[in-house]
Amino acid sequence: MSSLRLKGLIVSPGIAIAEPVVHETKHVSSPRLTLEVDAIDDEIVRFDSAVAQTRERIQDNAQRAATQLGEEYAAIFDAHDLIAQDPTFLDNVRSKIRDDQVNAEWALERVIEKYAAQFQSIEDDYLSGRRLDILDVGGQILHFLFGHEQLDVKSLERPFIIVADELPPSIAVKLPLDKVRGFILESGGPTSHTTIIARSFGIPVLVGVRGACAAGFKATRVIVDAFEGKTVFDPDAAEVAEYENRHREHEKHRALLEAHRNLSSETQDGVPITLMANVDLPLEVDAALHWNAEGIGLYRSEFLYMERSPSLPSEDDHFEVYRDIVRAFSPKPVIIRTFDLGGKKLAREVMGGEEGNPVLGLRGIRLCFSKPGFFRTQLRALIRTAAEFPPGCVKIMFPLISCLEEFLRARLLVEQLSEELRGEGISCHDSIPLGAMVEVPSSAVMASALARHADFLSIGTNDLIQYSLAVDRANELVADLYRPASPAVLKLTAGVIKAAGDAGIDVGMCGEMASDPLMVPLLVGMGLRRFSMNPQAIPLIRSQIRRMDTTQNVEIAARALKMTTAREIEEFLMEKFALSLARMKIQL
Amino acid sequence: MKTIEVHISNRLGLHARAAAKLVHTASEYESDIFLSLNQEEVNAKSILGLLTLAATKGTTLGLRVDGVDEDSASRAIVSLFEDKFGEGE
Repeated sequence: MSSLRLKGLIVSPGIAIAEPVVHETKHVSSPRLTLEVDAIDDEIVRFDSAVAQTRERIQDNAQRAATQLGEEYAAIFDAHDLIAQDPTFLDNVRSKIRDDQVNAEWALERVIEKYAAQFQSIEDDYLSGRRLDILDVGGQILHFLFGHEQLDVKSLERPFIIVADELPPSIAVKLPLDKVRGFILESGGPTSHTTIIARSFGIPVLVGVRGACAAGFKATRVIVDAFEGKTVFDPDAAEVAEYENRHREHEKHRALLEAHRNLSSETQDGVPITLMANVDLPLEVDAALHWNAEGIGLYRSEFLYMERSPSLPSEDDHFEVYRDIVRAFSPKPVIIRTFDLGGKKLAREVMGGEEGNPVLGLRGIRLCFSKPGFFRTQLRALIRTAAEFPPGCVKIMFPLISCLEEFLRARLLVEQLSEELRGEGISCHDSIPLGAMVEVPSSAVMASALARHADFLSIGTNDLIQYSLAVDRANELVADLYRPASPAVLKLTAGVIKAAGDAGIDVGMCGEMASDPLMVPLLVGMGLRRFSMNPQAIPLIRSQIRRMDTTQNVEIAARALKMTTAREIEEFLMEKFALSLARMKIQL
Repeated sequence: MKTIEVHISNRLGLHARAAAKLVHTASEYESDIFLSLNQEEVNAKSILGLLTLAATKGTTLGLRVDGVDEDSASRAIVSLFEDKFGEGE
């Protein structure tokens, strides 16, 4: 048997080797069987009992979700339960069985198809997305009809790797996370619930792996290499040995990092570097605390919105979530970014209507301003949270600032709302540190003006790269043009760091570049002292920083900034750092 | 049988949560309860039916209630719409 290699996008790093367990949502269609008239009643009974089993399972899932992930997740399953008891839906299937004299599987599939088509034709994105719910519930009923479980993960004794086309929450919530060694997904992005959960548990995940299910069905063993973004189905003996070795090394390294987690992040020459955590879900706060993050450098508040969708969180909802997170970290700072919705992110209810070019459209701070009620609610909650803690514990950051006026307008709004809250008897701080995300090239160019008015800046590299180079990295036709080490991006970044330094304000970085071991020494050389990253990346970067010498990095940065092509810079950085990183077992 | 008109005034329209509330309320009554929009009539106890109506804020729906408890059922449904499904906006 020859091995098969498939590439994917890394959303959570790591290495795993195990048996693949395939979960394919696209099911095999059942044949149409014509029934004898006297068998019809039995067929309807068979359908009803599959529905009853499905409802039991949905309720079981809801309970599991509520205890493992919180009540918010359980709401998904309440909606599923309503579908599984929908009288019109069930009657449609029953009459189809009776009128057409057909088997329940065939009747059910036709009815689901009809609903799915109906939902697909709805113009509202949110409602048309409910199509997945009917497919999920319908799929579960079908599997009970077929008499076997879709994916019986509970009975799996050995460690395994999930290979799936997509992973609906009904499956994800049931996975025994102690046995799951990795995920290989054909679709799904870095922000889906499943991948966020996997990341917070340190499980390697690759997405966008085309043909993974077909390969997984045939394979008895699979390697996930979520350092290099590749998979190997049915690897040969030499490869297995190599990866088992790498996996052991990796585990040893992790154990070492674990033992060192309370050490300071200071360079060899005594320069302290601040390592903070990026957090999406309250669930990730534990990981950030575990790896001794010096605060939260980016709390992406939009997940609060996503969980409550389609209704909007109230001021108290905001307040409670923020207060709990800040309490966990106080007196270390927590930087909360106001809703960064729009663009490609989930903003269906807030946006209403399609935009021709959403990434250049109503997103980030622009969307906040266009929905004043919604922005006000969040800011009031943030100001109230800040008032509960010593000054400086809560910092507010505004996304996608593209000109100074936007920042000034946001600052004015915070001042007005603080005044309003004082009028209501809440003793607010005189001022709350307010910062701007620098992720639009215009803001990077004008950083020194911004730095005179902001209390801190934070460089968001993912958007800064995409806007500077005009590249959507999810578009595979141009993805190779997405180069973090491009001279334009480095020049903009260096300019922002210098502008903040000149103005005497704090500057950090919270994009992916901040946890790239090849870029971190260069950034330290440019003068960056605060890095924020996914909590799992902190120990690795900390151990890198502890071996670093800043004077050396200053020279390296100066040389890199004189170079004119991305390739030249990448090769130079590899030459300078690859060896030392290999010694530290940092995988590139 | 009772037929009345109800008006959607909550911001999100008949979205998942509002539709779920409506199903729960309608299911408490024995009467047959239907909502209609543009000649399309759906069972108010059917979540899928309600969602496929895709009724947005500002829409007026026809409500038809038929059964032994039709008076109390229609009162309960109407007040749900008037209360904006408890969404407050």
